[in-house]
Amino acid sequence: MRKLFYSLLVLLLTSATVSAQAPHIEKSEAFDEPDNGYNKVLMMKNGNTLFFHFARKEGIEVNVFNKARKLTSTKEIESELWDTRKMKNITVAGLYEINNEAVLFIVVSEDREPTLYRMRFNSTTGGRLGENELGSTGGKTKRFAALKEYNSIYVEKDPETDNYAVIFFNGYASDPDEKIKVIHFDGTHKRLNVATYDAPDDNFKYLRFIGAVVDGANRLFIATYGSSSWTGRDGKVFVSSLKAGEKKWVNKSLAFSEDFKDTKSVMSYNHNDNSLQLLTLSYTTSDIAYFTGRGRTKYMSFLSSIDPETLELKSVKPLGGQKINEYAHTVLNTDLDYHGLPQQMIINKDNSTTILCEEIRLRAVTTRTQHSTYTRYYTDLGGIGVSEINADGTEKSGYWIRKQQEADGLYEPLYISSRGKGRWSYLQGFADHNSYLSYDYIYTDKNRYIIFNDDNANFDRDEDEKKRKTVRRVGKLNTFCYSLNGTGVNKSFLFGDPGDNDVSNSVHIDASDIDKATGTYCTIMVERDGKDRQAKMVWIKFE
Amino acid sequence: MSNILKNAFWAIALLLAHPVLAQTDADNLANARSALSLNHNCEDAIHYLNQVSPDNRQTADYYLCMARTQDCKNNNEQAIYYYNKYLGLKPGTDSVVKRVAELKDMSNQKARVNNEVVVAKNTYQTASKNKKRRHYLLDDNFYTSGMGYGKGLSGANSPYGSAFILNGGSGFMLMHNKAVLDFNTSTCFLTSPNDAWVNNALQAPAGTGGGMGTGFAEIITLGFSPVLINQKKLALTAGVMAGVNIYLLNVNIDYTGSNSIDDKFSFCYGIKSNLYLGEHVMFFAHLILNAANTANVTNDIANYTVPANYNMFQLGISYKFDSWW
Repeated sequence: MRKLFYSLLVLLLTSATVSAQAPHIEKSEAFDEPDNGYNKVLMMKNGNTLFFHFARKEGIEVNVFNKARKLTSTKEIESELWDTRKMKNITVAGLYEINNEAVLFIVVSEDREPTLYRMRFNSTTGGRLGENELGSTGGKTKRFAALKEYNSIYVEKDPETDNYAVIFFNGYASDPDEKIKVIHFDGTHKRLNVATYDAPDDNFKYLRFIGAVVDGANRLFIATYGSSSWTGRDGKVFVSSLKAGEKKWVNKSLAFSEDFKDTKSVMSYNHNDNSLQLLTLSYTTSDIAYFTGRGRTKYMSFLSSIDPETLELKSVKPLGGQKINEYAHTVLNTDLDYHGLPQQMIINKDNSTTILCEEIRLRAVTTRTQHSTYTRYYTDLGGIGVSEINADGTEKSGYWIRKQQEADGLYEPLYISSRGKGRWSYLQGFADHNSYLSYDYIYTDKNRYIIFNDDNANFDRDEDEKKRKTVRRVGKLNTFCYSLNGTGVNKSFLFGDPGDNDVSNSVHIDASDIDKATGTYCTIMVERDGKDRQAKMVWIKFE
Repeated sequence: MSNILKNAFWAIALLLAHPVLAQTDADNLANARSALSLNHNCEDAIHYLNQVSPDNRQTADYYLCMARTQDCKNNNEQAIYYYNKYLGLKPGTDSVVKRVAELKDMSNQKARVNNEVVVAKNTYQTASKNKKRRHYLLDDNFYTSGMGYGKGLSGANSPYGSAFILNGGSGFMLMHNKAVLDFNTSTCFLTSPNDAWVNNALQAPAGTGGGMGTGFAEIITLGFSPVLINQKKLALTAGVMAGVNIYLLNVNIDYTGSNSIDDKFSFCYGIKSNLYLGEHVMFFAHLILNAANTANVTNDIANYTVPANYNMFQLGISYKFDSWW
């Protein structure tokens, strides 16, 4: 009797635990699967969800789902300032909720001069409220640009407030002081400041914008990388601040970055300890062969903390991913070390930091036929690395989750960070199925989750098995969900085990948005039953 | 007696002077304190403290004032030293104890950051195999402009025996400085005309003859050269090139008739080597071979083709400068 009682108790506790971890899933009515183009979800504070879709020649379509997850409005949006039927020349610089409206920032490169447009949308009807031209880079994109020459426009929003900044970067300008221009806006789109960057060193032939942070309506910070040759001679990383209403920049170089080669970064304001947090990724060496193009390019990354008042360095730590390797050696029982690149930095409420990594391999495949030779480029998106960093910069824990996906085109380092801001471009020429690749990280107050689409055949493979079926097409993928539990991972199918049935459920990774306050993740999902496919909007509330 | 008087004088003088000296030290300390508290002027405070006599530099007031001055100048180590001296004389002063703890904490913090900076620098330099301040001569795109001498490679069939060359180009570093892709243009003023070749080509009648003035050739090539040596002050590249050669003959004919030799357009290829010395000097050697080494001749009787050799070996020197973008 006692045995039975304990058995029932264990069963009850187990089922309670399982139900606590099982995410709560809501779905919309089915709609046509969106075709190739920009697909992005924006969850608004009023509970509505806006789904933006535009294809190469179809203009902008805005769909509104209410709190009850019903489609309440669909609008086809035209622009009076630019041709929405010619989408091939556009880059989305960002999609944000600002002042309870959805605001889409679009860079149109008509006549090779990138120009930024801001379109505001009603969060209840999806209707266009207004649009403005915010400016251009001031230089035409060169038809035959030298390596690493480019111009672009970036939008950075303060996650805590509705203030935002627009950064115009003209890499062709010969005067370093003319390369970067910033406009600081408040939540009502009023200009708080317009200033051109005061380059810290006029001898820099190369100066690049690599990151920005907006601190409310008070000030903004930008990170730049400068060097006197494109291979990084006298290279340095600078952090600069500009107070609202002032024109004078305060620049400070990061002492450790002396002679750094090509560097990229992600910068955030850590309100837990009032510091700027900077993740830098710097090129170190390459052993790429002359003619085959085979080899490996290596980067080194550092996590820095900077005093926002004085711009003095408070700490800098190399990110070596030792805990990821420990996890590999002890949990996965492999001798291999992890070689992924940092892709995103997330500052947690407890002042710890999570660094998301992914193994990336770029490939060129040349095909010769009787009449022609053509080359296609691919990016292999390999294993996921998660490194959790304590507030003092030491590494707390690490995970390595195996996956093997093949994306069309060449991916840049830190692409997950820019994807998170809604940045997207037709010019990258990625195929539609790329949107289903890579992975998402969802964190709540209690748990952390990794989700990605994978072939069912890989689900039963143990994590220590290196050999995996490569995901190339979206056809029969299911979404896997890994919850990170401190010492290991728990694996499940996000939408349930399909078993031997010819069904699959996968999510659109690129389109996703997360409401951090409620831990609700929203994106498009595709349900497949045999040959029937239908898309739905899905809201997943993680515990 | 005079000695007694002298000693008495000095004794009186010292007695009189002592209050004056003591008053001056106190004033200096007071002035230093004012400079710190009123104006936050660390330099003035130091100036007044330096006026304090050595005998009065072991007082608690002096130590405290000097500690605050060093604190003002952000000389944390010195500030801690003088605060501790003060505490030695007046232990248990809470505000000073607290400040010493703060300064020690700041010093430790600064030392920790400095240490982290050193570790970060060393880690990166080791990973990038990039010794500090070691730079290579060929590490950026560049332009060149110079001149040289060209030599026709086949005596009998070369329309011209030599050339004066104006050379210009640009180099693009590839594969992380392991190769150069260069665009090169040679404007050649062709000299030493080969009259024997032109007369043979024209089949000029006996007693008549043709000749040639200075000719002109434009050779435009695209080259790819691996970098064989790339040091701080010396670099060497060697590779291949291909392009076009536009060869303009300047034929003078001293008899009447409609004889002529056509100008020549030919694809060309070859090998090249460049030697770079210092930031701005480049020596070049180019061997240019042509795909079509013939000349089309028209005379009163017929059109025909004769052998002609436009191949050339070039040697020259160029000024190398950084690209402006």
